Amino acid sequence: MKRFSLIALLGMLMLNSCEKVIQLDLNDAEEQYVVDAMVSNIDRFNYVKLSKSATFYEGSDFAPVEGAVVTVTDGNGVEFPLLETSSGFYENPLLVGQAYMQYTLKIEVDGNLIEGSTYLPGNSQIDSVVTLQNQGGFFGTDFTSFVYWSDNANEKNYYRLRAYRNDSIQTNIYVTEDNLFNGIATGTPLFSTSYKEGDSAVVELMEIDEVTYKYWLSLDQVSNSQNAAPGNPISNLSNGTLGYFGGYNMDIDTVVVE
Amino acid sequence: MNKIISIVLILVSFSAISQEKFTISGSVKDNTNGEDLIGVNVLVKEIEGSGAATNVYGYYSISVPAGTYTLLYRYVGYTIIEETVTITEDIIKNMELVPESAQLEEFKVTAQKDDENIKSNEISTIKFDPKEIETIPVLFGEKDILKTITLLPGVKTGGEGNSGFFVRGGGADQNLILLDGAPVYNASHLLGFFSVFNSDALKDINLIKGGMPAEYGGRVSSVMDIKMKEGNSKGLSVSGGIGTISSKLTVEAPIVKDKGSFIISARRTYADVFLRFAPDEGSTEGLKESVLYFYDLNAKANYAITEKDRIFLSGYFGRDKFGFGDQFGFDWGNATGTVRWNHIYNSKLFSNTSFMYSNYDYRINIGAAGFSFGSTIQDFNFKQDFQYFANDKHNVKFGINLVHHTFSPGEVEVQEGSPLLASEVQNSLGLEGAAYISDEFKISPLFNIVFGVRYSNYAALGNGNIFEYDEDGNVSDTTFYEKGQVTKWYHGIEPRLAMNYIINDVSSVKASYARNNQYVHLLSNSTTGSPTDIWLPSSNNIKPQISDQVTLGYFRNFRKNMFEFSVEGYYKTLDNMIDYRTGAELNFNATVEGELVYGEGRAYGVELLLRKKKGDFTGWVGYTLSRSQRQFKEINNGDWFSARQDRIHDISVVLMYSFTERLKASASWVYYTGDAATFPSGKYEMDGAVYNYFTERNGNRMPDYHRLDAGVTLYGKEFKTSVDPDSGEEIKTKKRFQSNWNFSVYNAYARENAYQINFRDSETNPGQSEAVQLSLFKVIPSITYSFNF
Repeated sequence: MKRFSLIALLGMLMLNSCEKVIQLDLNDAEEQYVVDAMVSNIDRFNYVKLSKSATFYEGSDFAPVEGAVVTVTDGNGVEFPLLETSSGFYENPLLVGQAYMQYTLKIEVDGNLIEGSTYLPGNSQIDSVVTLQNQGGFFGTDFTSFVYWSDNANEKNYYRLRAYRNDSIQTNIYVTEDNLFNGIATGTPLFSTSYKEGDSAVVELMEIDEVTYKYWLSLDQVSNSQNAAPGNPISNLSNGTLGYFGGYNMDIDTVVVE
Repeated sequence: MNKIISIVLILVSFSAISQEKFTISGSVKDNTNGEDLIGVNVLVKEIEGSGAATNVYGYYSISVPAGTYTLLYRYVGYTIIEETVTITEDIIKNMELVPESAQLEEFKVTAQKDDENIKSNEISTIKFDPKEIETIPVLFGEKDILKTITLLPGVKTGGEGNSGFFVRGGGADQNLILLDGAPVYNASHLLGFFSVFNSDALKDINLIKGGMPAEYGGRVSSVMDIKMKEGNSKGLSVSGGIGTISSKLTVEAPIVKDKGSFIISARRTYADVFLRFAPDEGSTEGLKESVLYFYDLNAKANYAITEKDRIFLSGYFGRDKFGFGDQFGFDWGNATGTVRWNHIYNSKLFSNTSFMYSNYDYRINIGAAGFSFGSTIQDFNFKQDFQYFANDKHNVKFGINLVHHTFSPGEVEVQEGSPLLASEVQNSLGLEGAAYISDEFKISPLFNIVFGVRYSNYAALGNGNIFEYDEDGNVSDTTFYEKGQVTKWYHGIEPRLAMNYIINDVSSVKASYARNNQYVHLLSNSTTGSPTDIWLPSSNNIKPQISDQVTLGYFRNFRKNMFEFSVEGYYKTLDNMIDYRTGAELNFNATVEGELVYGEGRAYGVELLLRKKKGDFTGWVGYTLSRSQRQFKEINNGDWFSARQDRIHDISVVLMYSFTERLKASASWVYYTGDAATFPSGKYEMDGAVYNYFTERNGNRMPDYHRLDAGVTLYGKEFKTSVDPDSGEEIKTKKRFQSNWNFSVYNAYARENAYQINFRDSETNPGQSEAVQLSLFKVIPSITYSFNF
């Protein structure tokens, strides 16, 4: 469910709030390995991306981690060695995720071993994507997309949604679970992404497992500066490594805003 | 040993025979409006160290041997009354005091003895008469006791956009806020910019920071006991105000003169009224349909059925509404109700029986998608208090309290076609009970103690499944309980002690100890607090929070009590504090208790206050040096870390100056160390976006906060002057209609204080991260017009 930032809204609306960039003395943590890894039913979304963290005031060209030995093993014991096809980016064209399958990731790099495992759940299908123009007021007059799908009543389901505006990926995090809509036709607005007339709206509905859900949920929470429990997100990787390994069952739909 | 006992017995019986005593009892009221006066000193001039203070219903009782005495009724801001009485039996002496301001100037008595702070055994206590603070400048000119009280040492503001407050390092949910005895669960309006208390309807505010008397319990940090006015029992009076953001009106009148009265006070903000004028095109199109306001209503009535019985009815109802047409609506509010019966059994035994109801709920209505959700807390509360004025040495209070709690943490209602199912998170039910006894014992005229004990307990009642959790917060066991079955029972003894040793007329030393148990807990996933925060009771997983606090204070008055100075030190330990696992989901989660972690806390500090209470120039300077820390196994590798409200230095200066009777100016300046906060120690890339990396909880500091507010109040003429046709002398008569204009400015030197700091990618220089500070207010001027007749 989307959080409305009411205070910020009020601030903009009626008060003379202001923003300014300030210089803060921050601690510089040592570089950490960062793993961005996924298996899915769609070819291009099967990869392992390795990089290093940076200090806050450095630029955002995160150093890729090269020369790692990366293997994904499925629940039947089939091993897929991943090759470094570009700097820090590892893949294997034979690896395409299958529904209801467990996957294990193993990374050996500079004498460190990073492991993690995920479950690729059953397939999810988008029923429809609709865009509607906001009615003004607090919400402006841009278009918002609404995505609808049907939840499987017999499973505990977790979802992640991702939106694109034309070709550009929208980085807002949307995750939800079927606690409040188990087994019915449901839907949600993707408020943080707004469209203009003529844009194409691409929406990915991704069914995920519980650890992947918890990863994105906690990453979203800790990105909010007002969060009561700041920290790093919950990960399924060993040794407190940053990042996660997620299994995704994806469905993609595109509509043109009109 | 036996010898000693027999000597004691002889002494006691001897004193009993030789000193047959009679009681003088009665009530003390204000003679202009019939309001009960709380804490009036009633002294017997001939007997040093004797006397009593009126209780919260204006009732007092003194025991003296037969004889002729001079009684003194002494109260700040009122003329002292001296009365000679001859006592040969128990007598009732009701008294009405005349406020100084109600008198003609010629008769004004200035000889005011004002050493209450030295003589009283209250330690760590802040008392406010809403009138005292009416000229202190505040945001939007909206008088607010919760904001003003944070200008005193030991009480820290929750910050802008947060009417929560922190007392001596405790959390915002550790303050018991009582409105006529009924607990208020969420004291904020408009997302925290205002408190729910309309100061026009309030009579007395008492904030106890430590050494709570045994009659209070249930929260571990403080008690804020707010009493509503009873209403004018002498005649009709109306007061009101028109301000920048809200207007209010109060009507008081007798039901039967001198026997009963009522008061109704209402307030509403009107930010949304301006939205109606927004042009219906471009970026403001549709803004017309937006709703944004709050209102509240206070009402109270009292009636003296007989000389010895008095009934009170009081209620509060307040609501915030925020929304947009029928697309979206968000509203929340408190409702409280109190029925109270005062009964005087005899001149020594005073009884107070109360039934109270409190309700807090919020509801978010997504009309556009056809569903709504919300949460409710409901309390039924019974309280029986007795006060026994045993003799001139002992004043005993005892009583019981029973509360039935119903917590509905979340439910979803749906219409046809909703994307959600109707659902409800299981309610939590509980029964909280307490019994207490305390004695104020005047050991000698210079040394008195208040000692007591409170026994509290909490029974969590079954209403379905009760879960147990493993180390990681996953459900490990589920047990079903029938409705009403006790699933878990906690109880505790809470000793309370306060001592005052009067060194001389101008100085005293005080000390206290108190333990408090807290059985209800607030869960909030944001540091600023929100109307959607949920309260949860203790359960098989959540143990009661426990605090132990010791305080030591030195009080000294200078220049004939013109200046009051105090220094107090405290040390407090807190057990079973609550924090959250990363990624905790607090709303609509049946297994929310698995998201919690438990730890301990400690807080200590020194508070200095210098206050000038008399003269044209009044005000105070307060300074607090304090720490507040927490320790949780799961957080920060189990090391101690700073609580958010760990503000090491906190300074406030409040100055009020009367240029003339009609022109008063005031200013306040605050400074405090920035809140403890968690800033990133690095950053990394994930799925095309940059996220921050954290290494330590609350290891950083927000920028220091400081702000100056100033205001001027211009009063209309108070007196009408005419010439007596017979004597030719000038006569001054008080005008019935009184009014004033208040002009104030908040944040006078436009300090940009940090409300929050966001760490994000630069908009102007992509790829470069930056820290962006959001400040809510620059200079905010406001005007308020107030009147009464």
